Amino acid sequence: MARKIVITSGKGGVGKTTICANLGVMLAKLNKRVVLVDVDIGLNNLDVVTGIENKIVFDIVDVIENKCRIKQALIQDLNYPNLYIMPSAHSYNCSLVTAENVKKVINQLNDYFDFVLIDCPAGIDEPFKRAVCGADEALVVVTPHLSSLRDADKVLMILNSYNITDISLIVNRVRGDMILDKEMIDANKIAEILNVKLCGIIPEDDNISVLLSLGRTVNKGCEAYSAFTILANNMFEDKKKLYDCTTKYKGFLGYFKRSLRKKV
Amino acid sequence: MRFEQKCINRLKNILKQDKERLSVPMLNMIKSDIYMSLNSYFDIHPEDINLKYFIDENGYYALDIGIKCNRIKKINFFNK
Ligand SMILES: Nc1ncnc2c1ncn2[C@@H]1O[C@H](COP(=O)(O)OP(=O)(O)OP(=O)(O)O)[C@@H](O)[C@H]1O
Ligand SMILES: [Mg+2]
Repeated sequence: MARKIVITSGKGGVGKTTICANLGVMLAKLNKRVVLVDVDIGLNNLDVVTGIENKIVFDIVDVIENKCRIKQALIQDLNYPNLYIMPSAHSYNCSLVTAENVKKVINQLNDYFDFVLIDCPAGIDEPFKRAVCGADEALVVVTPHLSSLRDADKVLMILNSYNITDISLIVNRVRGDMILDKEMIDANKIAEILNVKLCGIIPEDDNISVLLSLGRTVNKGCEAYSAFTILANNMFEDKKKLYDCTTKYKGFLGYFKRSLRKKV
Repeated sequence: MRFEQKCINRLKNILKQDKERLSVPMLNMIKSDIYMSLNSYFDIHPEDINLKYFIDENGYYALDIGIKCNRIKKINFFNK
């Protein structure tokens, strides 16, 4: 039985796809069989983030329309053989792409994988419902900004009306220097206000956008690497360990880095 | 006040304003459910149930349920 987890947010551009791809890689490294499902139909991006855009023959819409078997639409990652991607279509014009049919596809993946990570589109309309319908767990991604937190609160309320047994929060793009200077809300405080358990903290890391442009996920040289490793381990632990973004800005050298970052 | 605290206060306020209000039909449904479950124990009428709700400073829904009744119903717990 796979754990079917939707990665959602409400607000767009907060890092759902980035987290879906990187969490998938980390789970694959832990020897788990993982499939990333792009349900962002029409605005698909997971293929670009994972660098498989040239390998797509069939996509989730083809599976729904019975144009291919489910295995034909799965693309194996080049670096991690346990990791597969089910791409989404760049355009579609088909009434068959309903929440119920997406759920059927996700259920078919059940036997082959340990984790099905569903990359949810932004918003709370029909595309959101399609993505959430097949999941039994949710990871809500926010950035420490008011508009993102406000949208996440609405999403949390809506998720309550689905069959989701476990909802956790990931705070992305956290800046340790700003936290220490009390210029950004702390992730624990965010979780407390939104009344949801905190499962991961991902720092703001310029490497993410650079690697993303190359179709690669984070590597050991990036700050976010440790944060994603901790996040992946948290998927199995009740007591969550959290990445501390402030460490590198503490002490004399840290203070220096902080002042420097502000001046840039 | 530090920026972080200002931001937290603002966020709490926004979330509080965004909270869904309970509509009159929904309040009536809740009243009728309360009536159904308490009717076996108390001699009450639906109009004896006074239901008020508000959203507190932390954004939690708080329900005030006031019920007046004249008698309780006699229940035989040890039916033979
Ligand atoms: N921790 C981070 N540090 C730096 N940049 C980040 C971080 N997380 C995400 N980004 C950048 O933010 C941008 C948006 O990320 P992403 O596409 O993952 O968001 P999304 O929530 O999937 O967006 P959409 O709602 O459009 O699907 C990307 O350019 C990505 O590189
Ligand atoms: Mg996305």
